Amino acid sequence: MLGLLGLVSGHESGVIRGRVFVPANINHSTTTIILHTSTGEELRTFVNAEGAFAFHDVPSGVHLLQPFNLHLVYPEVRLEVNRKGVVSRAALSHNRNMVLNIPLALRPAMEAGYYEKRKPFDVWSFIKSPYGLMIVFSLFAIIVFPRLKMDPEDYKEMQETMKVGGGPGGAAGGGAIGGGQQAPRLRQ
Amino acid sequence: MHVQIFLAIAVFALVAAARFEDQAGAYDWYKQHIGIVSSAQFHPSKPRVCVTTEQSVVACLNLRDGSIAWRKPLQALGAAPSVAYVESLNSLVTASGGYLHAFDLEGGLKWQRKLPTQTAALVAEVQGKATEKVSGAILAVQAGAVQVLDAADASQLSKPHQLKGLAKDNVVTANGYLVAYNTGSKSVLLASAASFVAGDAAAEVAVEAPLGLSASAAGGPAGFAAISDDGSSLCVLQLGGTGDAAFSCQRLDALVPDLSATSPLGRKLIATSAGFVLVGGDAGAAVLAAGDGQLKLLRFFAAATAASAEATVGDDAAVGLVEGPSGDKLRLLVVSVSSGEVLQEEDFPAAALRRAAHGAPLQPSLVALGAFRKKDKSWGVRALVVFRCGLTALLQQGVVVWSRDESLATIGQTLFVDLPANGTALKGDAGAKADINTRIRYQVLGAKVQLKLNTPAEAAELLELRGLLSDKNTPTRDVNGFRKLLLALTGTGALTALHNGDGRVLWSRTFPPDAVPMRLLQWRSYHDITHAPEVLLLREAHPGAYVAAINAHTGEELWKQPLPHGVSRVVPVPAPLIEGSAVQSVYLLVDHTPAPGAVPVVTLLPDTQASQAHFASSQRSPYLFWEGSQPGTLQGFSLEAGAAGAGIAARLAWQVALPDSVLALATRDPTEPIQSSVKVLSDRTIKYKYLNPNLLFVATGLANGAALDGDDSTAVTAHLVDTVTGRVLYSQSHAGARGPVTAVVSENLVLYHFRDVESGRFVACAMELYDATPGREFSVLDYLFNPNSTQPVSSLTPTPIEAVSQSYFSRIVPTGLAVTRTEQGITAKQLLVITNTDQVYALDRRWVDPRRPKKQKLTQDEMEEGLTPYQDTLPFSPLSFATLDKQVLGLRGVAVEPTRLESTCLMFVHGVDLFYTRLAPAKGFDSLEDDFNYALLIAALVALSVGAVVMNYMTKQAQLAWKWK
Repeated sequence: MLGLLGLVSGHESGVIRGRVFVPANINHSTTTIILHTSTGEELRTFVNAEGAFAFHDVPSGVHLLQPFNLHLVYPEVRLEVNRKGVVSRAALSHNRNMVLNIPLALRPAMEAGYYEKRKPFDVWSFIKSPYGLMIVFSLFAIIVFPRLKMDPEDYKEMQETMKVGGGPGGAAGGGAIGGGQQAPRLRQ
Repeated sequence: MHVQIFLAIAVFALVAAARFEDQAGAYDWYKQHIGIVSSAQFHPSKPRVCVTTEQSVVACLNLRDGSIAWRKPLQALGAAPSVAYVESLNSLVTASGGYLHAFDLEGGLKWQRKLPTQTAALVAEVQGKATEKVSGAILAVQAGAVQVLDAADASQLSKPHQLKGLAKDNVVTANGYLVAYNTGSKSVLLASAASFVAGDAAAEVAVEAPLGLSASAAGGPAGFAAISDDGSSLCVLQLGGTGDAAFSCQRLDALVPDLSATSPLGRKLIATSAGFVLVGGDAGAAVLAAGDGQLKLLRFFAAATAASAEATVGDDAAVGLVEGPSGDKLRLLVVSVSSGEVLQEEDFPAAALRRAAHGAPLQPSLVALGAFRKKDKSWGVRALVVFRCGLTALLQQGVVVWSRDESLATIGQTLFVDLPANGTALKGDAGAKADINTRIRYQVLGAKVQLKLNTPAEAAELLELRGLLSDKNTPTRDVNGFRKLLLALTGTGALTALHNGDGRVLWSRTFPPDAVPMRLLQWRSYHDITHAPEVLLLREAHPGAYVAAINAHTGEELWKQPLPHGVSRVVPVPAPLIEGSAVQSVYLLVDHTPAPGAVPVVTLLPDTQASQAHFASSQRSPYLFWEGSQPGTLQGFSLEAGAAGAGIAARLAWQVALPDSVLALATRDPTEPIQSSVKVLSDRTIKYKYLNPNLLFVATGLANGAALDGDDSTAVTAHLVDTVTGRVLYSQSHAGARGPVTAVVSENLVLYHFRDVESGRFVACAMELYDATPGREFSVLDYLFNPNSTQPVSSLTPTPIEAVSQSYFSRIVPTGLAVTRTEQGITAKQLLVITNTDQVYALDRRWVDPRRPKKQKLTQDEMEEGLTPYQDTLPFSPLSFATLDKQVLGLRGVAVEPTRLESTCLMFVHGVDLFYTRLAPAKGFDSLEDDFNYALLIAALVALSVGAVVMNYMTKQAQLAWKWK
């Protein structure tokens, strides 16, 4: 592929060539290639319509190549230029075992997402949101609480049946037990 | 693949205040600019005009609406590039900042070459006779070195030439020759451009002019012309003819009698194919024809204020002259260069331009003329007119098609001030009130977007409605202090007040070119709401230095006072002077020339009895310090107040010589609010922050741009210097490191970046400083009830410092650092890193906490302190960019202003572009968000109430039915 692009640099002295790749939906309008030289200088260049770039008159030493596109994230590249002015080694700056071919083919690592994505509508996340919790709690209050409430007449009636039946737990009769006994009656 | 994994690890989702895409534009605005246009060229086939600007931007603008089709910043911002349009290749070749660039007209870079030095260079296409093969050859001339390059691929067409004689102030191309001369000199050097192309030994000819020549000169097919140094004559040199080249000077009062009466300042020459056009500032233009070595006046246009370069209109070669604006008209004349006849004449309404310039005087400085075919096959013209105030407008067929106010691309200093309390001062600016239906619609759309049930059109409508309904654009102050007036001092000499809600201009005041102020400072603010705050403008250059107070709400000048000396720096006195309900800022104006043994002249402003007394009684007097005249030295001065009007006596107190060159200096903002002077660790022990207000951070190392020695033994050393005594309190060294260094000091944290030579990567080093005095006791009860229990700290008896530091690799390459600032300083701070890609990255302070433990599993105590496990690289997440998905081209400054809500601060970023946003470094913990959706809340409540009623009814029915059983 690179050979086809005609970017084979040969042994031009002090020249760093490469090509920046972008996905089809992103253009090169903000693409900038920044080279931090070992002398502490910052060299910049842009790309042509195909994404190709070239630095000329690069001194020897260890340089850092920083490709930039506003919408993409590229890894930084560590370049070693020998005394003849030829790039002797190009590797990712954070992992020098990842050696890159010369001329450089720079591919984005990911798209730069500057905004948080809203998650698609999801019932569970809605329920967990403040609105959802409010609704669930109120529904609970509306539907379940009335059923826990006991009619006073029922209560008397129930106490009487308990006295008559002489159930073992009768003395402890309270709301909780009442509620528990209410449920089977409702099913009638 | 490894890259993805690495980045996935590096990108933490723990981002404090990331925005959703539908919130874009709710708290922020962004304005793209290009700068003050210095040259313009109409696109040969597309409806575009391609320009270069004084801010070193190359751009093409859309002719229909003035929008930016593309733009590229060149290396050195701040100087207009030399530019040549190579017609045969449709490319623009620029020379700027030590580089040559060739762009195609679609924004692609064709090639780039380095020039020998950083100085200004001239680039020109070689104009030769048709028989010579010089098409597409360009000359780059810099400091006497001439390169001949093929514009297509930058291949060298001949060996570079060195011509010492060309290293002169002015180099002009004229009819195949290079003409070089020094301003005011009579000796002129001629060199044939074609001989450079041919690779011949350059034939240089020295010609003596009868008069010294000024910098106003032009060269073209008719030869070379320059106005004499005394402004009396016009000297012409005909080139390319037979015989010896010789100057002939003609007196201007004889040649153009009407022009000579006016001031010779601002005269400009423009070369045409038949002669020259002489523009006399704003006093008319003369179209001159050349023949027989003499110039002849074809016609004088008394009302013309600017002229364009030659353009072809149909079959005629013509220039565009602009007359006016006078009254409500701006007139464009198309004048034949060979006959002086007016070929076309069009009037344009000036009122729209005046409005767009916000009242600044309209003086055209550049005109570019372009021709186009109308529908009836006749030729029409359009003109791009650039006014001195920065307004750029396209005129065509009697209308101002569009205009851009580019003065804001030159903002140098900014200041946030309060808006008026009631709308009296800025009334009439309020937006239209929206009706209730719109509000309901807005809420419904908001709910849909939040639940992701919207269509794209609805999302767009929501954004539009948000702008309409928001009160962020009201020109009065609000309870939370979100709405502010943003004052900006521009390079075009205007003080402009922007509303921070949407960046619109509320008022603007323009100063004449010889009184352009350079500094904008706070002056006087009032606690009562009836007074407008006052700001101070300062012009530093002497003669002409002055200070002036401006009413910040109206732009009215309150007073102006000339200064007897220049000002090289302004030092604010930390505590302002309180005068009744007014808070008066006090400044020290320092006039200092960097010479050995020079003592600075210091005056107090305002220089009154009260301010002198205030200065004398202030708890600690400020100390001046700066880099000495020798590289790597620092000097400190002590100051002593005198009587009113007597100035301040400055005395050299100390001098420090550092081993290397100084790479960065940083001090803490003395007004920075600090909530607590102690840090409580999880084991309830207390550490005392080292908060010496006289702390200076100095980084030294190998000078930027200097080559490394073979042994790579370079190091960056960080020093902490006390500015009272000059004592070096602490220093630490990073072996194998070099600059550039950027640094910021905030509270007890110093953060600085440098470069690691071996890996080539940038390193951020955080240093936290603690007071290590043994036996300090502090209890919460003291803090509450005994404010005098704090121990005084003196620079003269320095306390021991405990410095905890840690270094991290950084993917962000900084060019500057700032820090967020909130009202009380309680909110966790974010460090604002200005990147070399013209963005601002908000880095949470916890990421650079030097105490991050070097293990993955944290103990309960460490988690309680909010520590995160150490990693060698700082996290990089695009969500943390405070500038969001915007690039602020040519970023020069960041201004941060606290609001009255502790959680929130305002940030304004300016360069060629402008960006404003609201920052909440620890999320909005003390307020509901502006776009809190009340509709959803009300809907939920209504649904619940209805549910309750229905359920109540149903329960009753059920009980009744059951009882009947």
